[in-house]
Amino acid sequence: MQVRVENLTRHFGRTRAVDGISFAFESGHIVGFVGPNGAGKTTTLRILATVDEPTSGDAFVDGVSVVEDPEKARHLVGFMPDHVPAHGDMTVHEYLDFYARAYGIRDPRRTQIVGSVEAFAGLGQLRDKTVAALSKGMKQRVSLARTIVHDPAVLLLDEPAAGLDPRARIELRELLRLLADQGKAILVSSHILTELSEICDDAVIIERGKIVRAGTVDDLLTCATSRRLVRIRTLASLEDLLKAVIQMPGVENGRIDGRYVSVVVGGDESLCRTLLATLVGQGIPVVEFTRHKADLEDLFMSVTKGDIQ
Amino acid sequence: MSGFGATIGRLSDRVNPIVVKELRQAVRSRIVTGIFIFFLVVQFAIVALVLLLDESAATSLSAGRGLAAGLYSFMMFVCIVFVPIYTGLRLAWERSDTRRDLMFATTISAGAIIRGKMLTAAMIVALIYSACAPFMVFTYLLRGIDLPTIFTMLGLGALYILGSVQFALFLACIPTSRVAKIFLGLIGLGVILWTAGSFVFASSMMLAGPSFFFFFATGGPWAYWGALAFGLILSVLAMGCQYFVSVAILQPPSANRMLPVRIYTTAMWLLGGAVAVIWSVVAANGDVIVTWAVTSAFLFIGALLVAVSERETWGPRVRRRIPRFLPARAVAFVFFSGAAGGVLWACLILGLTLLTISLVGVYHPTLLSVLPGSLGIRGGIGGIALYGLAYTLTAGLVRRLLVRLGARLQHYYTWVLALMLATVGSVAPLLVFLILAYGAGDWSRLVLESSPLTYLNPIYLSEPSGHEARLLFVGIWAVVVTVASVPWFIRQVRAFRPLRPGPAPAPDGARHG
Repeated sequence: MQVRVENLTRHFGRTRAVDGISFAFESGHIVGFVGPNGAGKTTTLRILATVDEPTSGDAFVDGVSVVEDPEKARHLVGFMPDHVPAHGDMTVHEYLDFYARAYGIRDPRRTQIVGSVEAFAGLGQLRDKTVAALSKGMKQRVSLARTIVHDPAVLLLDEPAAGLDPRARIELRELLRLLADQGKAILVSSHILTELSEICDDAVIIERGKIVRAGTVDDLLTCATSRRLVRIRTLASLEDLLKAVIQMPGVENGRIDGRYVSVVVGGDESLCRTLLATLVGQGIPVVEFTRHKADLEDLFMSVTKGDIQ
Repeated sequence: MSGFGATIGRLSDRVNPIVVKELRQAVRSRIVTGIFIFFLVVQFAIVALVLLLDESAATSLSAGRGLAAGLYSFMMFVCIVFVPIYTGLRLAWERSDTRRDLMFATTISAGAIIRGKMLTAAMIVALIYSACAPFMVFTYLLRGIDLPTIFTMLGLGALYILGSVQFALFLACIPTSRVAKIFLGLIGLGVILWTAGSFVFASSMMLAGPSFFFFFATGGPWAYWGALAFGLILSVLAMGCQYFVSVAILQPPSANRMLPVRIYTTAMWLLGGAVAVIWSVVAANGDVIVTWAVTSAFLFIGALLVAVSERETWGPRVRRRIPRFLPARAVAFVFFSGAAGGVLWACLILGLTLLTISLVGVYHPTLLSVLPGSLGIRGGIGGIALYGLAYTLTAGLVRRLLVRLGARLQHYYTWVLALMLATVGSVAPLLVFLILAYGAGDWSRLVLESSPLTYLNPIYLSEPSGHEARLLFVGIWAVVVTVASVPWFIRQVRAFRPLRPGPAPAPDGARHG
């Protein structure tokens, strides 16, 4: 199972919300879809979910075109939008039962499936409550349950963690990992990059409708860590340490950061080792020397300009 | 018990999911519950007041008839206004561009959505009827009205409400901006209110009148039943047309959306034509065939506007269904989604309508003396059809010219361009005539004659003088734009080919691109 986006474009008047993007991902992978507000993430997800149509280009889910055969693609795709479920006047069970019916699932399988997705999403106790009466986190769970009710091979999740408390986020993360382990291809857009870096295998960074970086998270972070941020603590004066360290080869920048001196080292780990050895050799009483590992947030900040359309 | 449960489960599976959802929501809806209680209270109050205040109620032989008319008018007016608005607004809200309901991203078909909405509306009507039925039947006990009359009027009313619901659903399906939707909604509300008023007035008059057959009885019972049957058939056919168009709008653009619409409309036109010809000849009255011909002319001029705004290329989804056998492909070209095929289809039907009218005119010349002067019904329909064709194809030409000049004007806006041209072409000659050329001689008269609005002006219709000039003008114009559109037409005929079976596209080697 592969999801392939090919030269996808979506214009709203003169605004190019999505501007010729192409990427692909496979089952069992969680792909982070990252970008500032207005970057085109939601539009891309809506097109993949057949809720919107592209101006040009296409996307294929297991070889099925979302433009040409949206009805077929809908069997394969589950979409969780960034807004809470509509039809708040229905109970959780009725809501999930309706979507199961809408996907053509018949009884007694429907009853079993709805029961199992309620249990999976932790909604068993809330099945008779109306959707409108639920908290934001619980509504997100209902939305996720609806997304998987027809057992799609591909999940498209638009800001699934938005508005969730830390516990709910951790639970959502675990649910997504579980779904990926079941072989689902998952595309998650999120602003909470620390969350994504922990669960995503791949990432696509998009800005102004164009992809600025894409690849596995490890590869992207390796590229991002060609410059290393090192934090040094000493028992001596921080000003003296900064003066000494800034003159050393490979050190590009430095500043006092609370009880630390933070320096940017332009090179690999051997340069960090040389730096530490030189400082110790000069008799500077170094008590802590830590390399700050770059994450998706650092990468995101370095490759995007924060432009919106 | 388990067998009963399984049967219920199987029955439940057969029910349209939209009906299940909508009814669950309707049961919880305060509006629906409020309307239901309101009905009970008001009807109880009406009956109680009539019984308490009208001293003749116990002795009058027509007390039931008057009360039935009152109750019926109240019920119908509320139903015709409330049920379509409730159903239409819900669909319009679910179809909102910014927050399109996710049921449209499920595998449920567009037809099932519309049918589900209609069925739900029918059930709400049944619910309201159930609240009113005891009161209506009670009027029977007061005398002056019979049960068949009550049930017939209730049936007609239900059909009328469902017709209004289908109209509201059709409007709600139209994809447009929020402002335009509000505008469309207001127009729809106006139409529904206006027709509701007329229907309620006519039907309550029938109920309250001296005889149920009063309005139609002049020609005997067959005249009444014939007119009623004709009205019913027309209503059902119009509802069917709106249903197919609504489904076509809800389908994805890649689908062959116009195929069912064109097949249905052609069948409707054929059936209507056959009935009209037979009726006119048997009854020796040309009104029905003239009504059919004029209605067909306006309907298919509308079809021309829709057709010219359709796609000019076909994706794999449609091309997979194009027949390889050449004659079958020619038929498919006319009926499948596509601009040139659609224009050809509408022109063929307009031409056949004219031919039918002409043949009836040849064999039964006395039937077609509806329009005065030399214009005649053939000339009138021919002129209107030629204007429709000329403006439609001109709009297509203008759009393609603008696109060539760099304008980003999508094909689905061609109908707007055609309407703009038609508006200018209709009004400008009248203004030019009034401001500059009034009384300036024959040429000023020709300016005036070029406006298609003259076909709607009874004064000009009664004057034979300008008709030939007008037909000549619009005929030359239609021929010129048709000739200019031939390359566009041929391009589409050549592109209308079945998809060649080939190897599946190779998967993209690059993981990210």
